This record gives sequence, structure tokens and C-alpha cells, in this order.
Amino acid sequence: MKIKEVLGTINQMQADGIIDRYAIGGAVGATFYLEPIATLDVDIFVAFRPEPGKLLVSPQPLIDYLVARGCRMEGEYLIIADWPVQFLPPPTPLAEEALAEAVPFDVEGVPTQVFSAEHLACIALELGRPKDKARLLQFVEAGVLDPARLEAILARHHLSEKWQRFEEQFLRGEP
Amino acid sequence: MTLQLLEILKSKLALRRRLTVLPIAEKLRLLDELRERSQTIAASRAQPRPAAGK
Repeated sequence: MKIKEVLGTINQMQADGIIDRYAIGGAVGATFYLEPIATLDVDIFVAFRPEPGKLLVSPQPLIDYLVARGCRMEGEYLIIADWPVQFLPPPTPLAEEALAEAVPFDVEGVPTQVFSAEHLACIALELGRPKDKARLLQFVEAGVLDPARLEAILARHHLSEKWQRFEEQFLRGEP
Repeated sequence: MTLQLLEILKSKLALRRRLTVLPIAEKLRLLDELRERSQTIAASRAQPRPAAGK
């Protein structure tokens, strides 16, 4: 399984001190809770390590590390085991929290970290594109969201009103 | 026709539910396959079409 190789490489990066905490988001992250969602890339959210003496955090050590191990750059992606992988710093407080509270999983002996279902749902709500709304509906239909946990995250990140609008638009009449 | 459509929708929902509860490793294996299929489709789209009448 190629994607397992991606996870193994990222774990090795972490063990070698190139990145701190990481978590899988996006469609691959959602696949841990839902049916497999076709995607062309893997989104990895990472806490980049600041280089000694530098104020700005740079992804260069990460790129150098992977290129030295046979990976290549393609646009904004690093190709690992044939998968385009995007390493992203968490862009919002919600994503920061999702990274801090990532859920551990085991994929046939390979440990990994994934955003929680509730965080993935809230990120989809926050982004609000048609494909995000479709994914949010999948989370609701699959019954994988913990209502109390979801409500707490929505409130913390000022998304409760947006959720109400989503409910009115898509879940009215649902049991 | 309407009844058939309902059956199709029910069957699709059942498939989605079966896929949702698969072991993680199996779902990730399917992601690999889905990506390969998408790449094959994209590659076939990128090939120039033969000119009309040839």
C-alpha cells in the first residue's frame, strides 16, 4: 500500500526531528471515518520546527530531507511513494486545535495521527465550499460525530451560527 | 421507474455504509486504487483525439 509508505516516511521525519507534531487532514483524513473519498493528494498539517537563530519558520529542512531520500518536488507538492503530499502549517486557530488534539490511529502496525472527525467536520463548515458541505453531510449521515464535542468546537471557534444555517439548509426534516 | 430509482439509491447507500465500516487499511488501499483510476482517466483525457473522418 503506497499510502502506508507515505505514513512511514512522515513518521521517520518526526523521529529524525524534522517536524514536530503532525496530523492528516483533508480527504485522506476524512477517509479514516467515512467511506474512501477519491483524492489526488495528501494534506499533512505540521508544526514546523524553527531553525536555530531564525524567527521565521521555513519548510526548507523538510524539503531537503525528503529530496535527499529520493522524493521530488512537483509544484507545491512533495511526491512520496507516488502520492503528492502537501505539508501545511495550520492556517487557522481551528486547524491549530485540530493538530493539537489529533487522534492516534494504527494502519497495519504503522502509527499515525489524524484530525478528529469533529474537527474535520468543523473545518469543512468553516471552508464552506460545495465539496466541503457535501463532506459535512457525509459526516452527519455516517453518525460519527460526537454531538457534545462538536458543539464545544463550534462554540469555541464561533461557528455555531454557521452550523445552524447548515442545519436549516440541509438537515431540516432529518431524524 | 421511480421504484427502480429508489432501489438504486438504497443500494448505493448500503454500499457507502459497507465501505465506511471497512478496516482503515482496506480503505486506504482503496484510496490508492481510486487515485490510480483517476490518473488513468486524466491521462486518457489528455491524449489528443483523432481528427474527424480518420
